[in-house]
Amino acid sequence: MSVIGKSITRVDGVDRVTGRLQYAVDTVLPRMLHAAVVRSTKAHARIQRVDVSGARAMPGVHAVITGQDVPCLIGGMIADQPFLATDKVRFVGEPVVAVAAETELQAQMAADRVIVEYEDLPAVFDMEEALAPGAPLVHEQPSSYRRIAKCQAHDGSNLCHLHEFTTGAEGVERAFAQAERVFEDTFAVPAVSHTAMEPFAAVAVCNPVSGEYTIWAATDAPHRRLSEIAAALGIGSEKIRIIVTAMGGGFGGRGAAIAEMLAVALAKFTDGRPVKVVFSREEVLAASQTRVAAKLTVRTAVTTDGRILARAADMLWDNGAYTSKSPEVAARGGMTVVGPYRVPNISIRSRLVYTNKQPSGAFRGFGTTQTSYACEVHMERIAVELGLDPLEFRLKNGYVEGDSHFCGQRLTGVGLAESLKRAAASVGWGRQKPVVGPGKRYGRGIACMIKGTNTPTVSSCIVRLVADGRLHVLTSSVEIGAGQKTVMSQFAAEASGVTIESVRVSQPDTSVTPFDFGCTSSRSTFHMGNAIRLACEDMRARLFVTAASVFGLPAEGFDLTDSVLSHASGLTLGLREALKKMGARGFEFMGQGTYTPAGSPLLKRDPGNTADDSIFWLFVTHAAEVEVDMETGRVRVLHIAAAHDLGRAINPLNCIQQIEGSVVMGSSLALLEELKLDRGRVCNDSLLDYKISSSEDMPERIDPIIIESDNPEAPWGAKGVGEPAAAATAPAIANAVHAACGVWLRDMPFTPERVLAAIMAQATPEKTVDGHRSS
Amino acid sequence: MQRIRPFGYHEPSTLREAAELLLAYRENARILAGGTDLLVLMRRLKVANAVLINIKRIPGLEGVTRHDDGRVEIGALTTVNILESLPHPGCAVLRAASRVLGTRSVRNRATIGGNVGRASPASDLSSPLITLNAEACVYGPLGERLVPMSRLFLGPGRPDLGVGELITGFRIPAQPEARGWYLKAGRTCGSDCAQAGVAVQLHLDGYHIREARVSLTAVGPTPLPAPQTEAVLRGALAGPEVFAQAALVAADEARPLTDFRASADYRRVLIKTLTVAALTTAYTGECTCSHQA
Repeated sequence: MSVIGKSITRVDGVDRVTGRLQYAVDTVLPRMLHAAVVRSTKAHARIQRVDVSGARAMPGVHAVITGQDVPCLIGGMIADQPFLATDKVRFVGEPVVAVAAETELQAQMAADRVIVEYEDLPAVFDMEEALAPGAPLVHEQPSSYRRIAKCQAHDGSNLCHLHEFTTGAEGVERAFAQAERVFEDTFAVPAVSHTAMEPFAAVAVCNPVSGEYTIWAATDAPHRRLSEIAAALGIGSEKIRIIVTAMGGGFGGRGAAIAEMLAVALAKFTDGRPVKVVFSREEVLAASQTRVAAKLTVRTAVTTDGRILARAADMLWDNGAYTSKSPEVAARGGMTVVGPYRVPNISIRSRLVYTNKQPSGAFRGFGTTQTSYACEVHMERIAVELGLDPLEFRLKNGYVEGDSHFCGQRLTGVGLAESLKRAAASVGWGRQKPVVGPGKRYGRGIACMIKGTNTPTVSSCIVRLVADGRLHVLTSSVEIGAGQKTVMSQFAAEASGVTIESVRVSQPDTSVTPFDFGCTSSRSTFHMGNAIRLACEDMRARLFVTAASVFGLPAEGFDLTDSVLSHASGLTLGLREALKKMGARGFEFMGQGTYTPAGSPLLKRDPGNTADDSIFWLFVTHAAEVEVDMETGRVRVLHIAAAHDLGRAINPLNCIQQIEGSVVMGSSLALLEELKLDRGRVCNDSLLDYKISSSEDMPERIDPIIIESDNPEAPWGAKGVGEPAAAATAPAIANAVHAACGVWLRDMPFTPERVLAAIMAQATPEKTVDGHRSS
Repeated sequence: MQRIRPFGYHEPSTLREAAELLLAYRENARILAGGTDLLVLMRRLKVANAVLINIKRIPGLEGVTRHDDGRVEIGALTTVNILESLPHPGCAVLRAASRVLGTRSVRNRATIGGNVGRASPASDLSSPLITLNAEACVYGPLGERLVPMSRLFLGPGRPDLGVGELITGFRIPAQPEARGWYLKAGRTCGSDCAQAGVAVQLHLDGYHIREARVSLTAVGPTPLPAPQTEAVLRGALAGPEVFAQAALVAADEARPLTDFRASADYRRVLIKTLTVAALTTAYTGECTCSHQA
């Protein structure tokens, strides 16, 4: 019986809800020490003196270390971040001294005794000010840092990374010059926290003889973290082992060594005793990583009948003080500002800027929560000002099957139009507005988006069919809470022919489970799904060869389905029984599979075109119904219809849960979330003041709509669903607010105060600019 | 991870002992009741070198008593969840406020004495008590005294208590023919500390407002009695016109500050809409929706 397309109950569900899963914070090892961290109180300052003598004298203390003890720089793209600050601090909250002691309290008490003296340096918080000539430099010599080839250094400037793309400058200029209408808007998107339920935590132990480190932590890409840490420490990757613990939410926030870095630094100085680092919520909010704040200016040239001729975007992205994945967010993420539309002329400039703030990095959607908001509110304004139906305007310009993406790739499996139509229908698009209470206004809005996946990347998998008929799947795909283990079980059962009950999916352990690029970029289902398929086919081939010789039958007639081995000749045997006959005790059938889309015919692209292609593209439309309180500015989200082209749903319930969860996250981002800074210091560093959606703030109704499309390389047709949902919600809500009360929301989040200010500003209108150019 | 640093701790069994401990430890002494606010402040180092005086072993500080003449007494250790279902007529304003204070788990622990004694301008219970003409019962080295709620606060975090004094309870006079309500606005529809709140208590004579009490939350250095708003209502015919007029005066009477939770201007907007809604609800009768705006 096929298990594809079935809503199999989560394989780790019972453990999760009964509290039996072991998270990083649950890790307890013999002789384990606990850490406390002294963090910078300054946004930008030279460290004059660090006195740790008082801390060292405190009871229970085993190690007190400073930046001098770990002169290492870490960063997957640009290695610019010290484990502990050395000569200067670059953001409030930067680790300066770390302490390991017998108990958490002893560590804390010792940390309280550390004296750090600073000499203040001028700091930069605003991206434009940071780029101005003569601005204080966050990093004096970026070119001295180890970096990947595509991240060029810009010494003497706070420009961290520059990414430019154009289909041809002349063509773009001509299109804007000759266009009947040109529109321009600037949008601001704040830094937000991933707010995963589980705070950052890690345990590390260093073998004092071999110098090998073992790390227990929840990270979304253990093999990549391993390389980053090894490179930072300057040791071979064979000397590091990462054992992935259960994860309490990822959302992109576990894409860097955050607690790991501190645990590793301390572990070197504790004579082989393990060290545990646990972040408080304050540290998570103020001293880990955020979504990249951005300022996005979008210009579009159109004909009066709504054909897009050109799109230009100039985008500033706030890196913060150190570099995680933000160069890639600004570059690849930034390209999605074009949206899922046929645009013949494109010019994009993305600048990532160093500031004296908490570092930024990956966040669910990888740039699309920023760009889709800008693109789709801008698109809505164009439609409204041209007098076109916003849905028709999107359908007119949206990608259809076989269109060319601007990277030169021919698009396969495009469910955009269907997603637009079905989401619109779900909110009653075009129908009369329902009556709402006094002082309230009702509006509908729609927004769509496109998201690719980092291409090409690699996933590998090993399967072991063992004597009792169980199939062990060794994979480094992390269960981040989205149901990865369940879906991998479904793939393994389907591809191997054992029952789903016989499948066991491993926890990632870099010393055991093979390489996987990571549970990022909505890629696990597609990539690991293919790797599992290949591994199972490999295993079956070996099984059937042995079966052929044992049972004296031709190998090609064998089949394994539902854990029953059969042959065209009529042989039928339960798998366990068959395995018993096929080998001595302990005999196993293994299979291995490695998948990469590199070289796939789906990736054909234009020569010389520097835009990124993607092995699959996800298309999403959200439509919103909102009610705006005209007196207080409060936006109530009545309904979100969320249509997702995800290829095929392997586990429909899982997909629905993913969509619902991310709509809640998307509406929370739209209405509430923002890290508020005062000269680099996070003011709202607690969940009292960093507001996320409570159950009473969630959309009153969410309709997840699964759209299916064909991608020939997708395992059983599945593309992905993890990221895009959080991106389309905010612009759908913003557009619905416009439909309700006529104001354009160009700053997130749409707090009542901000919405009311927009309503008031509209009530006393400045002269509207119209004509050739309006903004 | 930030941990609570070591602290002093005492469990007096009488008010006298508590007063002596307060006298002995002075500014470091902190009364521990529900602890929902204090422990957070200690962990975040907003309170240092604390000596906690846990008053929960002192008998007689808990519970609600209603006298035959309609007076109500509430012990300082009475938890907020008990007040949510206060059966006493005329006390709807306190009931409504109790239902929107913090989360369910906070309400199960937090006490009325703690919420008032902390002297936070954002205290949800203080404004309602002011509109009920309540008095705080204060015990101290010099004996007991009663302080009208409207005069209990000197400034943010500063109740008008002498060294060694503590609040033991509250007395609410009878509220015949009175109707009240409390509304607050927060950043979310779920629990939040108030960006602004309005407590109203109307004493009616048919359609006429014989007497009105209004107090504002989180828009001044203390919970803020609103005499000018009350003057607009007093003697007026209850209805939308006078409610709207009162709301404008209340917005004017508020003395809000701008901080990262809301701007002063927006707090005034909230006071205006909350005042109309609170007056309307008070007049037309209790409803289940306590969150507005």
